[in-house]
Amino acid sequence: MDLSELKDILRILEEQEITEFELEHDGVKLRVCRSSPPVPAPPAPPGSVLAAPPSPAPPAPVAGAVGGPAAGAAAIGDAMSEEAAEESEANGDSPVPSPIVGTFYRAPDPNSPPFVNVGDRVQVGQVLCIIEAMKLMNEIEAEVAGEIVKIHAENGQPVQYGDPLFTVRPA
Amino acid sequence: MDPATGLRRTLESRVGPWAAPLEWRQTVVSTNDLLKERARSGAVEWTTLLAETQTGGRGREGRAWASPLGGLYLSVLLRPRDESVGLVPLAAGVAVVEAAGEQGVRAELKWPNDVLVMGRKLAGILTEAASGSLGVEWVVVGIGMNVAVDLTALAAPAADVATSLHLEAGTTPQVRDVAAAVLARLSVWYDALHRRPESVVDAWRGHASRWWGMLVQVKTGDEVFRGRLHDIDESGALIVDLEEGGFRSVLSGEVTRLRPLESELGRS
Repeated sequence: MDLSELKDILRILEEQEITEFELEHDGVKLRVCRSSPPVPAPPAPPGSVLAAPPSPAPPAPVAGAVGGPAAGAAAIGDAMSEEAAEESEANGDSPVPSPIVGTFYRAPDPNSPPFVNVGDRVQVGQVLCIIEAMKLMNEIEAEVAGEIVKIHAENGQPVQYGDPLFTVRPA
Repeated sequence: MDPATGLRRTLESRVGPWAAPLEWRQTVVSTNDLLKERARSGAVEWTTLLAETQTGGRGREGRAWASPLGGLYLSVLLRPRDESVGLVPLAAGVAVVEAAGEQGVRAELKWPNDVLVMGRKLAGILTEAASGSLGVEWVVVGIGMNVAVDLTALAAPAADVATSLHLEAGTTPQVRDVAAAVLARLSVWYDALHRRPESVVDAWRGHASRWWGMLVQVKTGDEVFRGRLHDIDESGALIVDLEEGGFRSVLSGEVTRLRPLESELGRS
């Protein structure tokens, strides 16, 4: 693959507004992730208090919110709250949005110290917190290395899909 | 024959070829902890780890899970597509209830996946996962079951609230057979999770019927409230009919049965 072909691919991806693309051809492996243009905040997920008997069952907050692997980083980025998005635009800080609906925990259990504190430096893949839903303890990993500059969520409190959990200042 | 080979034969006699690694250790700190390490270093789906005993078995919120000889301590690695992740704990609960059923023990599920017999705990399931930018990377389902554990040797309060397959069935089931049943049934429900997730929710409901309408206390995060158990929704969230009116869905927490009020006793 030469440079002009690569340019063509990138142009098509942009025109078609494709956010993620993978190609394997003649031993060359190409993976492209584009960030989406800013979109309005998603509609609020179903509230925790339901006004009427939930029959038929309300929409699935977890199953629906997680998004398929193909949706990937772009989908998670789209769901960032406006607050988080503005912050990241302003100074290059990277927000960590919640990938699921659940209960936010800063420590593996009530008797352990938090995974991270403000001022800590974190590595890619390091566990930042746990979000629990249906007794599934989901460890949320850092996607960028850097310093934790803000913790948005409160321990033991519910978080919605896309809520900002942390702000990481890339190293 | 080493126990892992025995398990593989039993399992394959039920479900056919089983390619994933099965490892049966004497003693580990926690099968979940060890399998999580393997998951991070790329272990394949359905990699299964068992131990005769655990020195640091744990449940929700880091509570200890007593793990003496005679119990099933099994962790299995899954790599589900994202949209089915939330129901994995429920599917595991159904599989464990069915495995108990094969031994003649009628167990029931308490949300989300405590396995009880007449209110006494037979098995517990702790599901752990990791998520990065591309969604869920792995899920480790840890199952602890009192197969033929000597309950009198357990420390309080476990001794008072636990039961075992041995006690309930009056036989001495082999841990290997129970492990094979759990894996075989989990593979069925895991498959269903991807094809017809609502069938998992329905199966779960079928094993939890005793609880509907029951007055309970729910502790979710730092909050505690009361109500009657109404149902679960399609995502597996618990729906509680609140005392003060309205309904509330709960994604995490603990449900405790409250004794019936005197007024209720008079009514019935």
